[in-house]
Amino acid sequence: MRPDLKTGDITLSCLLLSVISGIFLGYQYDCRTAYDSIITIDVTLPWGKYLRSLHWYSSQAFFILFLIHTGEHILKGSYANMPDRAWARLVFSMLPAALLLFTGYTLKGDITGASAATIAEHLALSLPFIGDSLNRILFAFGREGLSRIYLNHVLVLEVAGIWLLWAHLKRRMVDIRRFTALFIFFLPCCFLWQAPIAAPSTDSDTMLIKGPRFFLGIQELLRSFPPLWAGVVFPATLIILLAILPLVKENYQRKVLVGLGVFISSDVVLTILALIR
Amino acid sequence: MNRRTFIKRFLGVIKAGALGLFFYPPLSFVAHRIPRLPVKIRVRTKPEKDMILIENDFFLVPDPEKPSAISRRCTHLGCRVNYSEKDDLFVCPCHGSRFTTGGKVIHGPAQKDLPELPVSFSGEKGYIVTLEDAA
Repeated sequence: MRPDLKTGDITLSCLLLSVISGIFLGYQYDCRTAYDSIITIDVTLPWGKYLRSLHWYSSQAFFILFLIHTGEHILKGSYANMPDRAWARLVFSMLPAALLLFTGYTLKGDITGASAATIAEHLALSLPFIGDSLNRILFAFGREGLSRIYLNHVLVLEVAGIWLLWAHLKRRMVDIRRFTALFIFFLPCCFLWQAPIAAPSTDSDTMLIKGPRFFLGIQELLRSFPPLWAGVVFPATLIILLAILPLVKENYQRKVLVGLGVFISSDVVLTILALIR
Repeated sequence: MNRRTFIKRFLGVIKAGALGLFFYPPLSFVAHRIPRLPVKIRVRTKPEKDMILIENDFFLVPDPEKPSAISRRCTHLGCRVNYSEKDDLFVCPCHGSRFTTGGKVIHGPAQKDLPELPVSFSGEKGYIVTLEDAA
């Protein structure tokens, strides 16, 4: 019998830690002068750099555990034991989760964050018919700076995530012992390895930018393939494959799982290529 | 299709239409682009001959008779390109596109040249570069 890894509980605890640390950071963060704001938090404000590091570590851990939790339940075949709509909602909750991580990355206002925001904007604009409106709602970085991205990060994506995950989460409570243990685990990390910040967005010496690690595979793909295919269709394949898992006949489910394996392997290879560049 | 199914589907369409009508005004509000005037940037620096001035949004090749301002926005996905003195090229740090100092693309994935921006020289007042409204 496989042990229950409690990945869901730990994921939820990481999310809660990220939200709490984010609320405190929000009191001193100004999206209009993002980079200066982050430097002020790190250098001038008491405990600022540790609080920002805690937010960074808990957010990264949340997303990694989210993926592990999803993988664990795919392997367990949990999709077969719930209504198709419930599974679809869980799968689509990956979108606000990924966007939360991504928008947080851009809010540093450094060269990597600004470049990531610009690329995301152009990828949204590459979508036919809905691209312009989607960009205006999600990013609009070129015209509005970080204001819409910040609004989405602190409110809209959380609301979207809660809406999609409500049925999944409403019976669950955060285990206070696990939460405390996580907090104690992250504390020395915050003191030893500070959350990263790159050069300012106006830096003119940087010749190579490596984006957020979860999106490095897409960045590598964008070097060679059109933006719509590399930046939208490729990542959407993961969501589509996961969503159709309970909808296909049992003898086709294995093929879908193989497809998922191929997707993940190619993303890993692309990420490694991007890292060694 | 029997009557009950038809009515159920018809009510579903009405519901979807009502939701669309409900969300259309706020989404229109969010998506609306407020027109903005072009921004004029004044560069007062007195550069040396053949020097390329690097500003936040453009490179300025100063020449009182024929100045040129080239956008720093890569035509691939909008990243800010930088100047490589070693290669005398503009290089995009995101995906490696390369451009000549005239803005002509020589290496992808970008496929279009860097756009030129309107620039004028006003003597003591320096160079004035006009930035158009962003997307």
